[in-house]
Amino acid sequence: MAPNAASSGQLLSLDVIDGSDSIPAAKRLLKSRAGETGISKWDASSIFFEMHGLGVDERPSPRTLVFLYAADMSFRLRWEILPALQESKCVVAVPYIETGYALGTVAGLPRKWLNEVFRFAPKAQESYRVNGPASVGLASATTGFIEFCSSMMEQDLRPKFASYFDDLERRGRCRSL
Amino acid sequence: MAESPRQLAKRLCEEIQKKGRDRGLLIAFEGPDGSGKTTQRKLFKEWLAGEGYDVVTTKWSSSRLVKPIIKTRKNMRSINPEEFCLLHAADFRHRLEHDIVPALVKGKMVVADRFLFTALARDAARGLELDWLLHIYSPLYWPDLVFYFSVSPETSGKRIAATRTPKYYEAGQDVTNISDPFESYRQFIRRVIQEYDALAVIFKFITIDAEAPIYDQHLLIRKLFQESRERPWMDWNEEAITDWVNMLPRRREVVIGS
Repeated sequence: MAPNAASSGQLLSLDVIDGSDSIPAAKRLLKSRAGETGISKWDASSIFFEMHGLGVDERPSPRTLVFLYAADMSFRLRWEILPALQESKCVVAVPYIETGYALGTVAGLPRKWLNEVFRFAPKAQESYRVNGPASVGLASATTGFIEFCSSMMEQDLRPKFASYFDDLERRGRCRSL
Repeated sequence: MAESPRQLAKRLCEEIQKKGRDRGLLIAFEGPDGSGKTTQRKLFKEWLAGEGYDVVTTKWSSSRLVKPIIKTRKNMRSINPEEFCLLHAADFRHRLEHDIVPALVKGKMVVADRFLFTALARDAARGLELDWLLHIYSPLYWPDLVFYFSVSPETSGKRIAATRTPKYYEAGQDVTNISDPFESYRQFIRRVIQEYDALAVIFKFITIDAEAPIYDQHLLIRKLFQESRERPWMDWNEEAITDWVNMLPRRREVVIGS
């Protein structure tokens, strides 16, 4: 089921705490890379933007949010990431599947279920994370996925996501940018 | 000490079980397009309400939160089978958590015009693995009764063609790549019905001959429903109740209706 990412391109994952960091951090990461590059950003499908605009008072649960995140991820893979890899570009996916796993973990969803949901996504060759400045207030819901989830779940989830990425880094699964 | 989510879920399950034949049932109406299940669902709902039951209906892809997102993308013909699946899974999960489980916990009858099996049949017909679909849709609240309205692909095609041109995704044009919607529908619905027929065996659906007269079908459904009122509570639903309690913390103060 996972699409074949094998190509001469390179997929880098970058998971950020503050959505506004996405593009600056991705550009920093790509600075040292030779050749053509590309960036795939959260909500390229505009699922979350549209949902935010609906003004429906029913809140999606973490499970529903994971499905929506995965749907957006699938869209990004199909239209942005895989075509760029086929063209031998170095692509930064910001954020990538670890942010979906982070929400699931924070919400207590089973790892096995998360593995199944994200089974379609190829692994990144290199993984990075960026911590947000702790003192900055939470930005609007459409700034990034963590902000969106925080808004839906009515709590600032950034510290919990940061702990998840700290743990990943300790286990050598990603590097700080 | 405050009740933990697991303890609450266990208590809710015990209270549902104690209700015995007065507990709410989840009754799914499944079948391909043109099988007449919506007509039967409406007749059944009216009859149930007339019998004094508190009835809630839930329809496929109808959540206020996700339906508009799906509709826009279907109109734009912009989603592939995986996105189609994940968006419908989001819609299903949202309705399960906000409409279906709360109604059942309160002892209401829930009549589902399409349930999980619609996703399984359609997504599998689009080439996705059944095993993957079952995993991502878990944990599930299993229906007490599944009425499967069985028709031939020819009858389904004729009934649809008599009223309208099948829509792009309904006709499976995203996977058949056939430009004629009627021809695409004919081929796609055959796959969907094959999947449904296999699911009917695996999950022990009650198969209704959807080519029989409408009122005969309705009388049969009433009879089968009355015979099934003693149906025991299924223990594996406890996982779905626990998940519901965990996912929606504000619902922990739930009170089971009379």
